[in-house]
Amino acid sequence: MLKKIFIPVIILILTTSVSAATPVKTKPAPEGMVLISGGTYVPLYKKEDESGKQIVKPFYMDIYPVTNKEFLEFVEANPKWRRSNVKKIFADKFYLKHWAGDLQLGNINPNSPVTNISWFAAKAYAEWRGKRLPTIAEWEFAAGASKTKPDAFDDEENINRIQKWYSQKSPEKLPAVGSTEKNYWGLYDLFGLIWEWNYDFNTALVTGESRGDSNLERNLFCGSGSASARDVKNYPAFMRYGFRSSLKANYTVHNLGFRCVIDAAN
Amino acid sequence: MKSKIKTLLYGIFTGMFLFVIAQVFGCSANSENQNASTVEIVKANNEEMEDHSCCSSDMDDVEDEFSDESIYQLESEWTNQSGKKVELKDFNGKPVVFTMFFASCNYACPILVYDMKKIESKLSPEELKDYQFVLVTIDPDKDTPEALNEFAKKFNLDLNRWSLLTGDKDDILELAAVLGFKFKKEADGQFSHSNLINILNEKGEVVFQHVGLNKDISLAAEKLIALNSF
Repeated sequence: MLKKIFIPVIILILTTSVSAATPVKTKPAPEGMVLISGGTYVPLYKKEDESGKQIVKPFYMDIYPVTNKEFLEFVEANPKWRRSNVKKIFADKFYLKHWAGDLQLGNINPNSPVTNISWFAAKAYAEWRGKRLPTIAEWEFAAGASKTKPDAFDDEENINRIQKWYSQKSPEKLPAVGSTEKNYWGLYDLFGLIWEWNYDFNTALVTGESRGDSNLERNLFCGSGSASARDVKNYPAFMRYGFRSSLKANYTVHNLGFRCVIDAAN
Repeated sequence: MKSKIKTLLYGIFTGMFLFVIAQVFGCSANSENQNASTVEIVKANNEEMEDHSCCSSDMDDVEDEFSDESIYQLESEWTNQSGKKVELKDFNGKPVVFTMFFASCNYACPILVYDMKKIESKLSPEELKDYQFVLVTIDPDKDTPEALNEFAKKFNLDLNRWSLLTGDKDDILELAAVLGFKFKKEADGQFSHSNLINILNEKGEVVFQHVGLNKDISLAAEKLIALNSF
């Protein structure tokens, strides 16, 4: 009789253990990406009441920034994005200047994040991969996590850590991706390596409403105004907003790269 | 009896062993384990990616129709106030006064349009034949061709010379990015945006940007008139 029980018992143990180990999921994440579950996000310059809240839908985000090696694949397949072919309106004269040639990386780590690329180039790469650039809301939402919790935006220790990195000079030769910390979502290098392009970077307005002229927005960057920001202590967040609003789409910067996202459609 | 107990114990241990294996290799919230378990999909995705080259690799066939700095390199499709399909390159050949706006704007855009009309008024009717004035909306949801037509009537814009365009949100963002025009939708449906009037030469290159509202437009007008000597 025990022999009869033996097999069903094994099957029972197997199935319970497998189902215990497998959480319910619609589909696995694409290679090199992780799922960022949705939530609400309050931009820096809004208050944390109802008016400030934005919904961030779930999405998959690249674990690492795009590397030089990956970008090389892109320009090999897309000649119009090679350094000597690109139009000035789409990338300034410093585009990929750290490479040895159109199709030669030269003496750089192929797994280091690609920089000196414009918004247009980053966007084109993302589209080529069937992906897109993250919006500011998505990026800030994902980056709002510390190592251990999803929303560490107001966490002073976390802020200080990030600020320390922001106060350091970028190294001449960037190290490989994955060389800085992993956060709660499993994302590497959101801080400590490079700045990153966003899809809607040109909505990071330094000017406020379109009254008056286009001088610096009093609300955001002058002393009295920062009091209306979500967290006045989060200086790194201010820096990011300032940086974004200083960019133009064809600019390339030696420590500005990007990563991609995809909608987590049902 | 002893052998039966033995069999049962073997069974339990095998089950436990398999349970442990399943924990280690099974899917979990940890991203690394996710990657390990999706090897098959990885391979399929890689193949997909390799076929995904978006653009033609025969560079030789691509003519340099527009200069390096011309915005007419953008291939986006737009619709004007009469419902007609338009590409930006359709404006090639004549200088253009070019602004982005939205029709339900309460404050800034009317002033922008008046500033453009002030520039228009600096030109003689003869000169005006060689210029175009283009308004592109950043609010395609509200600014349908009909709404654009209403706006043109309200502001008394000569549609022989003025074009009001609406289009796809991605194309609008791209065009704004090219011009350095910033905009953001606010909770009340209004937009905050740069105040920018662009002067394009007949090749579609931005030669001058007039920034601000209600400022002296003489320099912009001068630049525009200077383009007449093409």
